[in-house]
Amino acid sequence: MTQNAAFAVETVPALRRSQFRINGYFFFLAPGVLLVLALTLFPALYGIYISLTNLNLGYAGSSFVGPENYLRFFTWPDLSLVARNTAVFVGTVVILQVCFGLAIAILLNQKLIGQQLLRSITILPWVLPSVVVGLVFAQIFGGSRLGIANYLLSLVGIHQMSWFAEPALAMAILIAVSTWRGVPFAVIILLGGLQTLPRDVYEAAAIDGATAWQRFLFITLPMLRPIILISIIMATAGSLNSLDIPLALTGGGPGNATEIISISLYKQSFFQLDISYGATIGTMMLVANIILITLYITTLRTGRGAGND
Amino acid sequence: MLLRKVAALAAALLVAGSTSAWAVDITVLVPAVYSPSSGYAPGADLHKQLYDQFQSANPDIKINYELLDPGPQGLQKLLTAASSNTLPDVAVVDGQWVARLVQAGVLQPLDQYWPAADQKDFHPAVLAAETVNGKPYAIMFQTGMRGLLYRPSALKAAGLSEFPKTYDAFVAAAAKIKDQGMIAELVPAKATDEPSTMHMLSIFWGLGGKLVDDQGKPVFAEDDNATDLAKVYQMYHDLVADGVMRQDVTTMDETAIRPFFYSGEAFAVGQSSSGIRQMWADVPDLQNDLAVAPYPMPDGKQPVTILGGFAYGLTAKDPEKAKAAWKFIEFMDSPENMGKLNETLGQIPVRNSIWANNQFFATNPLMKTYKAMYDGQMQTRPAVPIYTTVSSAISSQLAGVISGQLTPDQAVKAAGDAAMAEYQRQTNR
Repeated sequence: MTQNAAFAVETVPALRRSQFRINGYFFFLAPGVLLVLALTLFPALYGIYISLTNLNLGYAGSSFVGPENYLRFFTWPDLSLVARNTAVFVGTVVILQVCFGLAIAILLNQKLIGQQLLRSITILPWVLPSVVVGLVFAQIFGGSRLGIANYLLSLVGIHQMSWFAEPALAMAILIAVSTWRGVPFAVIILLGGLQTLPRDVYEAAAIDGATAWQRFLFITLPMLRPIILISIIMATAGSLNSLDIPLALTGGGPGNATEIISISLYKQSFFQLDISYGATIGTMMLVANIILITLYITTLRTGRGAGND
Repeated sequence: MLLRKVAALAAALLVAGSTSAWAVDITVLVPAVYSPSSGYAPGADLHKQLYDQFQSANPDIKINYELLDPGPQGLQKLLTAASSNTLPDVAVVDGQWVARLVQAGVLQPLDQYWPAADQKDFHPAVLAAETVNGKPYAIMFQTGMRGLLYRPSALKAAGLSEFPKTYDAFVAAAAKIKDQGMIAELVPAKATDEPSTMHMLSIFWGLGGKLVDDQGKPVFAEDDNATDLAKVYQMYHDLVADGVMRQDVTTMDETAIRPFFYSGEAFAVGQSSSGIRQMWADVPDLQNDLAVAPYPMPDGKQPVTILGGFAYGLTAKDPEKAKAAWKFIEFMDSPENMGKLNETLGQIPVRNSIWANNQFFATNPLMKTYKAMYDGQMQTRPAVPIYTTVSSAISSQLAGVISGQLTPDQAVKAAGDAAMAEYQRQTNR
């Protein structure tokens, strides 16, 4: 029976087998590919199409207007302010998330008492819905005596503060809360990476007399580099597209001092009902995401090349 | 015996099947707060009870409800449903959307269903708010009124016999209030937040200002309207500069202001009547110590109350479904049921009979003050597409004016320029 089967396989022409393999792969891959395309590529392309029209929910119908919305975007008086706010927010959040994430991941990678419990506690901020996080911190930093932060200050004799009245303080709180929410995700990725690093390299370095700091600097960091870059990419996309926490916490205020690009998109699309201009801002965010990710990947490749040299 | 049982079961199934075939299924799109899924338990219970009551009285009609976002996403959902031919049969809509929904063919006229005698039970401004081209398209069942909430006990403690009626009197009284260690007033002034504009509009309209002309063109930054708006901005600036109001109102919405009132830090707070029940629930003492006053106005003027609320609209086009849907609307909007809903949710009624006959609205001192405001001048926000831009443009300048970075005149010009740029773009469509 086995001999017959082997004979049958051998008698199938090589070309037919190869075709079957391709068709077979295609057959199994197609549903997944189509689903991903339908859920990611189509909305992105449709968004670009909408950005070339004048669709506004306040008015009936829409027509093609070409690059008009893009011209409007680049001549938008608040563009420089919003771009600066976004750069400060994204840049700081990414650096803090990855640095704190790495520090905590290294700590959790040690043999500690209650390691599992510590890991579970670390993940808690990520489990909470982000809009809830925004609302809870808005309560904590409420300007009245009933705000938790003000209450704590009053216990040590410090006068209550208007936390969101000062643009710099409002932005600092926004960054701190977004970092707090995002660190666990960086920890998960980096801890996973740390656990894959070979122990023998560390043992050899220890035998050679390398200090803990040297082992971190010359072994952990270079070997973890691809994982760190993935973490940076995820943190960048997450913070650039983040809406719920900024909206619930400051709403872009005071004035528009903490308005980041995602809030502008929301306001245009859902308050002004200007869907096409919202789609234009969304398309520009997509472009920014692509540029940043390409930049990171290029840096990663360059780094690898330099390492190989 | 077994055969008989099977035959009986088959007959029962047949009857049940035919009953469901005769029943008319009605889909209602409704914001959660006006449905059995409300997060406010008494509201949820009452809606459930009313839905059940309607079902019992109308076994041939089956009500299915789906939730609708009360904000712009809800409007978007209805417009999308219209374009994809998946409209519900009844929709509970923001009165502000009515003109746009009529334009998109979402709402059906109610003139053939709604008896004229019943229409007379509503305030004329309420009817006007839901009428397009002479036909009513929705039935408003509540409204929110904005004014200054205060505690009569705090008024007494400050040595005041009554709430100041004029702007100058209020500023003078603020000194006494400050002596009590309180902030005299907090009014939401967050940028691009609709309630911020709504609080301003009571004063702006009271001064005689106009937002748009009859063609829907923004005129708030022109001639006398510009002067009136600049005066409102100046009032906000002066209140902060004189220490009557905190500068960080530019970061606050109505919800963020409430803790200042609860803790006794603020004497008077700008709030919507729709939040009264919540405030009573948050601080039960307020049930016996809460009053409302219209905005103190300069130049002997009176503020104009903003009228606006949610309304039942008929969206079914099929005659049979439309008939069943109207039955449901008529039931929910009957004086008795509307009164129960208004009372339970603590929202201002729009039927004269509810004001007269409902014990709560007829006797509660706070509600009696709202009634006096209701009987005064009322105005709806203009039902034109440019309104959202106008509202956003006006509230966006508050932070600059209050901080002193912009003069009131500069703020009016900036708001006018922003609104006109969008208006030009939209008229060139």
